[in-house]
Order: sequence, then C-alpha cells, then structure tokens
Amino acid sequence: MGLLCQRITSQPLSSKKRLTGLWVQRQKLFAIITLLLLTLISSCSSTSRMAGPLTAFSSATGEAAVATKAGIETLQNVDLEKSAHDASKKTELSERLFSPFLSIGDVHQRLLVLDALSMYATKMKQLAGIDKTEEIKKNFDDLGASLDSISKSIQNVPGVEHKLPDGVFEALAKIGQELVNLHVANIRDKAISAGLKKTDPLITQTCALIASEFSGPHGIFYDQLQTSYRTLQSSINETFKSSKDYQARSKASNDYGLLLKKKELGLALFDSIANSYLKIGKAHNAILLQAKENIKSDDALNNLTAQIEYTKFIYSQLVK
Amino acid sequence: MSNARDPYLVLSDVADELWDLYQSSLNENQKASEQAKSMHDKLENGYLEPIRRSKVKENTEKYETISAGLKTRTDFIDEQIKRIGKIVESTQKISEYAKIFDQVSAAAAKFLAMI
Repeated sequence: MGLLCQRITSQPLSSKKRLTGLWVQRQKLFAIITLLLLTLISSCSSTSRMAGPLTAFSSATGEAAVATKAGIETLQNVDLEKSAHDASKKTELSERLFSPFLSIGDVHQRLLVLDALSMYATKMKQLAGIDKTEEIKKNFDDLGASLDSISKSIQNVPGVEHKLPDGVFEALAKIGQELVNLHVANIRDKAISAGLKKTDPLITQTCALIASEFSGPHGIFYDQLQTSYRTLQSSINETFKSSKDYQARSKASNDYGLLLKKKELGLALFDSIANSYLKIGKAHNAILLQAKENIKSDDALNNLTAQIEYTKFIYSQLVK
Repeated sequence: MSNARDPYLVLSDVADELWDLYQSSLNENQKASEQAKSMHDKLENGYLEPIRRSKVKENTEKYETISAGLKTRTDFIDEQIKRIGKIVESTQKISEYAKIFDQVSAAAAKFLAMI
C-alpha cells in the first residue's frame, strides 16, 4: 500500500494528466473485457443437465430396493411355512428340517448390494444437483465489498490523488465468481461422466444378477417361491381331503383360494422386480450415453418409472 | 458351439409339466395325479432345490465382490463432492482474509491521516 501511494504521489503534473487519460481508457477496456468474459462464462448453469435423469434414477433405485427387500422377506416367510409343512410329515423334528433357503449371510450380502446401489445412485444425484452458486456469490460479494473498502481506505490516505475507477472490484468479484462457478461445474460434470463410465459395467452386472434370481421362470428365487407355494397348496389340499365336516372343508377351500392369490401376486412381484433391475441397467446405460453424447435418456427412464410403479402396485396388492 | 440348455432349466420345465399334470388330473385320474405329484416332489426335493441352494451360495460370493466394487465407485463420487466443497470453502476463506485486510488497511489509513 505504501509503495502504491508513493508511486502515485511522486508523478509530475503532466504525467498525472496522462495517467488520468490512461485510467479512463483502461476503465473502458476493463468494462469491455468484463462484459466479454461474463458473456462467455455465464452459460454455465447452476445444476448439471444430468440432475434430472440422475434424480429419477436414484428414486427408481431406492424404490426397487424397497420392493426387493420385501420380496426377500416374502421368500423367507413362505420358505419357513414350507419347512414346517415338510417337517410335519416326519416322525421327529430336527434342525436340518428347518435349514433355511437363504442363510443370514446370503440375505446380508444381498441387502448390502441393494444399499450400495442405492448409495451410488444417491451420491450421483447429489453430485449432479450440486448448486453452490449462491454460496460462491455471497463469498465474492463479500470479497468485492472488502476490496472496495480497502480501495477507499487507500484513497483516503493524504497525498493519494488518483481515484480507482468505480465498480472495478465489483466487476472483478463478478468475474471471479463466474470463473469459480465454471470451475466447479467443470469438476462436477467431469466427475459425473467418469462416475457413470466407471460404474456402468458393474451396474449392468449387478442388475443382471439380481434379475436372474427373481425372473420367472426359472430364476432361483422365483422357482423356490413357486415350489414353496405348491407345497402349501398340497398341504391345504390334504387338509381338505381329510376333513369330514362342511365347515372345515369350506375353510380349507377358502385358504386354498387365498393362497393361490398370494402365489400369483408373489410370483408377479418377483418377475416385476427382475424387470425393474433389467430396466435400471438399461437406464444407467442411457444416462451414460446422455452424458457422453447428449442423447436423451427419457425413454429408458420412463420405462423404468412405469415398471417401478407396476412393482409398487403388485406389492400393495400383496400386503393388503 | 453347443446348443445344450442348462440342465437346471430342462429339469425345471419337466417339474412344471409334472405339476400341471398333477393339477389337471386331480378329480379325474387319481392314480396319474398321485404319480405326477410324487415325481414332481422327488425332482424338486432331490435335484432342483439343492441346485438352487448351491446357486444361492455362488451368487452370494458374487454379491460380496460387487458390493466392494460399488463402494469404491461411490467413494470416488464422494471425493469429488468433497473437492467441490473445498473450493467453495476456499472462496469463503479468501473473503474472510479480505475482510481482515480491509480492517487492517482502514486502521493504517487512519494512522497515516493522523501523522
């Protein structure tokens, strides 16, 4: 600050006039450059163009996870009923008769994957939705105000005759703000593309694996659920056959009808879960394509949303 | 290239057909119905369910690897979110430093005006 004061005050009078002209010219040039820079960089939007697709993807993944967990729970419950029926035919009960189709470890690993998939989708949504423009604006407004105040302090020093052009710091802060916004948007968009590209093969593999277990026929979960229901059907049929009075037969008949409905809905839920995951995989591919080549992912996302809605509908019918 | 289908799928189709036969012959042909049911149950309990249980274990191992992979990728995204957060934090710090410098320069200007 001292040096600056010294330089300005030590100029001879003729030089001071030239300096004033130079200031005016610089001010004009500065205004033009500012305008150009702001025009160039103001195209940067606050949130990523991928925010919409990634929000839809995250929401679908979360809802699919809820339905899948419910599907696993249904399988465990029906499997336990099947074991109880099978055991009732034996002379003695043993632990082996109640060996579950899915061990705690099997369930745990599947739940971890569902959570990891949801977490990935949530983080991608969070990244795409990053909007720090307000925060950055506030910081640069404060910076501009402080610099302006520093400038006024310098001008108040006795002997300092040349005033700095008005609005210099405000414009500088605006440029700084826009450049930081651009930098943030650049990091965010590159990270979205890299994240999508890196994860896409794994998402495809994960979705295909989950779908292979739930799809009907003959996904291993689908088939196991079907077998368990068939066993329960046989069990009710045996009760029906052995019942002599009308009331007992009527109850067995009613139970059989309800079981068939549950079986239909349970199997439909499993197949719908499988289709949901196949569509999650396709939607991720489409979002990657949108990030790389700007090809809209709307169709894939609409198909996914429709499938998720169908899954939710079946689930709501099943838990009625 | 072999056109052979997965034995599990072939046997599952057979089990489905046996179940359908059992259902369709109930109330009509008791003997055929019981035979179909018995064969279905043997196929299910003796072959298909053990195959399914073994596939569940195989897949569980695959899920373990997938979870780790997804976590690595999520960590990468998280790092980028934090990186952006740090940039914004830096602008805040610069603004705070400028405020301090402003106070110092105001004091210095007052001092210079006094002498």
